[in-house]
Amino acid sequence: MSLGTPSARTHPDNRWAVTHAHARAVLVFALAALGAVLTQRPDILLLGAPLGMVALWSAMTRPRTVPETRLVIPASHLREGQWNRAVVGVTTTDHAELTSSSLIGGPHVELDPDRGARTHQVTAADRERGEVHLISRVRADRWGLRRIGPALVGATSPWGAFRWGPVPLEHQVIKVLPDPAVFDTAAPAPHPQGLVGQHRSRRPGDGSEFNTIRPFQWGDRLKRIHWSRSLRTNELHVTSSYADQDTHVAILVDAHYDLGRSVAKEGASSSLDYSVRAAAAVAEHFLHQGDRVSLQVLSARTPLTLPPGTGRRHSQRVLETLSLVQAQPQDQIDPRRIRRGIGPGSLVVMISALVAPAPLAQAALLSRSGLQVVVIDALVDDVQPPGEQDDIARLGWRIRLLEREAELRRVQASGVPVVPWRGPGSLDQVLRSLARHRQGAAR
Amino acid sequence: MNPMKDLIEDLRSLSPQQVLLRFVIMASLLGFTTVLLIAGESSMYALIVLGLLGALCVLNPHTVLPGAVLVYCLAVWWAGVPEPMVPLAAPAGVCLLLLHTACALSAAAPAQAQLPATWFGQYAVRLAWVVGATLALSLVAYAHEAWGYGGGLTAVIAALLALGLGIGVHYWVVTTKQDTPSS
Repeated sequence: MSLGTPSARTHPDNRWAVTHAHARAVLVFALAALGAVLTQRPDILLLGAPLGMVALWSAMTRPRTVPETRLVIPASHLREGQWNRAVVGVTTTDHAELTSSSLIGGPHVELDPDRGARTHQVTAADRERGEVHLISRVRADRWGLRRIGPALVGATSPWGAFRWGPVPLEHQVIKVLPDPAVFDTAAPAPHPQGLVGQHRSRRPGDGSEFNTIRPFQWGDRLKRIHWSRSLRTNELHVTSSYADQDTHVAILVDAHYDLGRSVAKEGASSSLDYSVRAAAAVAEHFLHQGDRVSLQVLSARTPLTLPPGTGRRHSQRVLETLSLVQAQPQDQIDPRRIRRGIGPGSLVVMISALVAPAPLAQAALLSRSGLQVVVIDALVDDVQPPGEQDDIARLGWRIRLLEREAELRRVQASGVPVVPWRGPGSLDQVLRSLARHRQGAAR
Repeated sequence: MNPMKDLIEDLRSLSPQQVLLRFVIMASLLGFTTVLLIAGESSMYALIVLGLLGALCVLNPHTVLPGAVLVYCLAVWWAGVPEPMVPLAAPAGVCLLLLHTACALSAAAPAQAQLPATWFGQYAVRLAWVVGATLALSLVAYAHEAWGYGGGLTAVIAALLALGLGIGVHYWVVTTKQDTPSS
């Protein structure tokens, strides 16, 4: 945002106005002087004289120029829970003495100090620099697009006699990236597709991890010759390694519903919070291992798709896409759209609260088509049912949960593992069993 | 939106510096009341009334209320102190100056804002200058009273003219000069 935003410029308070303090000083002095003259009481004049001096001093130091101002959030995006700065810049003018600002934080935004109230005494150094910076710390408790501001900025002249503002500055929107919950798995992802990942394959191949020393075969690279063993045995030996493998991990985030409350201070998270954070964690983990990760969001409002990619920049892209997720139910899920871009051998990780049967049906379909599918259940125990908590609602919710359990059993019976999201290690067991299943099938 | 609730909320979330300023508001008004009681014939009820007004000023330093309280103080002094010139007028004036300044500074910044210590130092110096000038003026007033020079009608008219001229110049200075954006 440039200096002097239109809203600030046209605001009626964008001028130096007389304050109650100055009007008071003039009035009290005038009354005291009048009373003293009319009643021949010099003591009354003495009572008002100091205020007369203050009024004179104030009038002589009245600022003549209106400052220009801006609100800047230096980082375009930040992670949830991470502190950032909100900077209110105000140009210095003659006789502007104290500059103040306050910020209004939107939902899920915390300010330090409280209400972003900052004051700064304008010094000679500030006047030389030409601009005063009032810095508040801001933190977003929840991922998504978060609003910081509007800010109110004002300044006063000596003796608080003239005030500029408070002038409102337009709010800024920043992207808050989900904080990936700590997730780590030592289990290899099934179906390695290429030889560029960081998993240690069960097969020997071109990689970096030592496997064994074996006799030389045609095609072995000369740099792999193990000279000491070759000299001892009079036969060429080479060191062999495990192949490094990668896989395509397709993450499907079901954002049709957002159940429960999201209040960071109380430690309460909604089902969509769990889904998004789990998706971020899974993506970050597999990208860190060198796998290709794609993302699809199932929501009527934000049907986002991110093609497969690798590396740190892709990790950032995944987080940015996840920060845009908004929940809205969808009448129909197009299975062709879900299947698009997911080749054979991909690992599909579906993250869903599973309150509607449609995502589970899609998971079963994908599994039936030969893909490895893992479903992460984001309806964690502390997620509260939606709506008002009367008896009928509670009964309805219990019935729905019973139906849901039956649906889960059915989909598990069809070979789709469903793992409740419990943070670290949630997928470990499943990935191991999938890998074992794969090996068994290969034999 | 309840204004009283806002005021109380502001009072609850005051920064330590704002607490100090509000304390000065109360102390200066109590100081004026004490001087008034010593100098004149006011009753102890003045202490209660001015104490209550002080509490209102603590709540509303940014409104017209402190102005009304200052005018009330002038009226109480005029009514309660019969002597046209008493040495205690200077300290009473200083108390009113402190009341005015504390209210002005309190209203100049958000109630929750931390105020810089150097700012208070700057105002201590400024107040010292004004108090010094007030004491000098009071000496002139004593001398004038001691010499018994009344001045007559001419002096009264001249003083009224000077006052009118001063207010006129002030009005011209603060209202007709337009603000310009800074470069």
